[in-house]
Amino acid sequence: MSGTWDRDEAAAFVETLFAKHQGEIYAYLLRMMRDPEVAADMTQDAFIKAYKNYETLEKPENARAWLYQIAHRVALDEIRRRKIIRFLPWTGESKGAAPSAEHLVMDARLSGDMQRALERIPERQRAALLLAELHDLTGLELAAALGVSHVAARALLTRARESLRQALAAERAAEAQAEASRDQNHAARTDR
Amino acid sequence: MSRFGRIHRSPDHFSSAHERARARAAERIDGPLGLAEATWLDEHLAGCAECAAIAAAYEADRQALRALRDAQPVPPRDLWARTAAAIEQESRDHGRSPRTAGVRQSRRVPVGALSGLAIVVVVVGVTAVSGDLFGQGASPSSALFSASSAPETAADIAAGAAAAPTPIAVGAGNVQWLRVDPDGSLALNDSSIDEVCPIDAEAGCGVIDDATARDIAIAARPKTVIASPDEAQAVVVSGTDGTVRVMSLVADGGDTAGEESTSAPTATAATPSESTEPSQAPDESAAPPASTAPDETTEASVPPEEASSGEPTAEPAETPAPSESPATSASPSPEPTVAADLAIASDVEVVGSSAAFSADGHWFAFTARPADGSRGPDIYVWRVGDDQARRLTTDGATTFASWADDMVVASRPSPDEAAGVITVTIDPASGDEAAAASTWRPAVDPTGRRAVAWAGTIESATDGAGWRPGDGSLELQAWPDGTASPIRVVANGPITDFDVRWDETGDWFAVWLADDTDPEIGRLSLYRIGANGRLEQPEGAPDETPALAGFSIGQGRLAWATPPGQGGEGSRVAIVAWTDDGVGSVESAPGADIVIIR
Repeated sequence: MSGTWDRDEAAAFVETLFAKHQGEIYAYLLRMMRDPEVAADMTQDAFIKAYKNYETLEKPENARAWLYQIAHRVALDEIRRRKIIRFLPWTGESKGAAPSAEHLVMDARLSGDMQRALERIPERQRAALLLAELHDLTGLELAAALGVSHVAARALLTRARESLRQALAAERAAEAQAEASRDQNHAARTDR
Repeated sequence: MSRFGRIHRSPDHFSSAHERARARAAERIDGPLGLAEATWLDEHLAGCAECAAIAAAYEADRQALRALRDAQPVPPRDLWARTAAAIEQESRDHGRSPRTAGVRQSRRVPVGALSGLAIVVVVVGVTAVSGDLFGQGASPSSALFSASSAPETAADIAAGAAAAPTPIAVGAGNVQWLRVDPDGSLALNDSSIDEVCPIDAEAGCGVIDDATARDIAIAARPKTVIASPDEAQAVVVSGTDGTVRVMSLVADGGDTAGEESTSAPTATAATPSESTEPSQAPDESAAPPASTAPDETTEASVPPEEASSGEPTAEPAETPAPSESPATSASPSPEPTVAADLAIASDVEVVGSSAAFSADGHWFAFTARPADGSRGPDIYVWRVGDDQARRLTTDGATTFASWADDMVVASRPSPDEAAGVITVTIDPASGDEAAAASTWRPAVDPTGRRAVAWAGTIESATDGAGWRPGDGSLELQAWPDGTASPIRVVANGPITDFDVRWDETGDWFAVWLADDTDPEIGRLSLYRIGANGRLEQPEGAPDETPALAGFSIGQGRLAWATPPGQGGEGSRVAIVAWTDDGVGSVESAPGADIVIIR
């Protein structure tokens, strides 16, 4: 947003943004990082960065995509910092409080083959899928959030769908193989 | 939900039909395919069980993923308290924001509210190629600022009471523009810009002095004027009679535009003998020249059946018979300089704003369609010295984008609907084409290394005159291989229309984005290519500043016309100039009905 960068104005604007978007930003970061405590810290970090970079918001109507762009960068920075490419494994033992019921429900939903498949694909593709399918970003918002052109965003999403398909197929094949192995062991024990 | 518009990738980019089908099936989830590609995909899936299964898997996987939406995590309750405390701490740590002291001065006005004002603005400025439009040596070194001469306006006098800010010295260069007076007469203004106001000057840096204006008369009211690199002539797009004309800018005896002159102009190479005779302004009300059959020597590439009476004529149009000019009769003295002019195209509607001379000044290219709308747009080229322009393309679907060296850069929709856009380079002499890019209307920089282009879909313009950007973004890319370098997004869509021009160094460019309610009004931004190809907007540079269509950039200057209505005033000529030391600006006094050039 071009114009005088006023601290009070920026703080008030970020407070409004927080009230409106904190839930979805937190959800996105949790889905990326798989750790509630880390996601909370990163959500806080994202809004602080929004405050510090208030003058880079060109148009208020683009605030949501701009906020997602900040959160996306925070997530990628953290992933790189931790030298992790995949989701952090969910242990149910986050720092501090025990996981909430919502977290457990979400983990249960993500703990199956979908979670493992998402873990397999590159984080940028994962981010594209999450932002498009779970956060309902439009094509332009997705491009802005990912910091790429509109065409590149679509191409990334297309690749992500193929990556997810292959990853899910691999997960299901591995699961079927494990199941067959278990059946074989069970049969062997029964034969004895 | 359609997240994206139609796709662009050409079918021949795939290694096999199966790969193509799978990619298209994934793409179709996020946006519609073109009709031809969608039909092809359906037919392929009907005959390929494996691809059909994969397409079904995409959709099933999507639904499985979207099922996760049911579990919405809730952030910790104290998250805002923590965040607010951190912001407060951040604020205390840094005290007053360093940006508060020097911010970009963005003058935001509701453009839409201005669109009802129909004042036509004509600015004659430095060209993108040569910068200095009418030459420097012979131009009068007129005082630009009231600050450096006697105050002339009430504002200047008021400002003079306070300490005037120190102007910033910039390299020599002129800016010219036309002013349309209430009686329809034209005045060509020429101002040497060698000082500008500091960007943080609040008042008192003066206004551009247009006292060196001279009256001129041309046979049509100009809508757009583009000067040649040699500054000897300009192409005038008429806003009233469907002509594209060439007029001399050199007064008899080599006088330049900046001086009062009553002499007849010197004929240019492009000016036929009959056009050099009049000493009075042609009557603007005269009927446009009758269309005649195209000259076979210049329209050889046009199929005979297309040379119908509805076709725009490329025959040299006789300059309308001289008649008593209102300007002449209304102006006691001095007598207007009559710009000898030649209609190089008639009965046409010029489309878009990307008309330009080639860098060597030998060619001029523009996009036009017949005035009766009987066919779509084509590119016309005029070789300096010829009597008329000729149609370079004949498909009724091609738009001039820019020049890349001595080649025309042209964009058109792909014949394959799904493939989106094709951009080619065309030899203006031979018409030979070569594929160049898949972006729309790339504005290639003078070095031929970069371009600003529309990456996305296009759609038919509402008036049927060509196409407008659809879904996508305006991007700075490497030319011609747009995907080979970091891509910088200049502006995201939706965009109604755009105009991009580079300065002669290729380091600066300006982007004008049209308002969606009035194509003549938009917002202008100035950019610099920084280290590693980064896009920069120096402090003080125009940033989405309201501007009328048409601007000039070059020689460290950007000139444009402000929309009328701001502060209840008419349009002003606004100029921003930059040096290594910073950016400064200066404006003209508001004009009642200022005219147009670029």
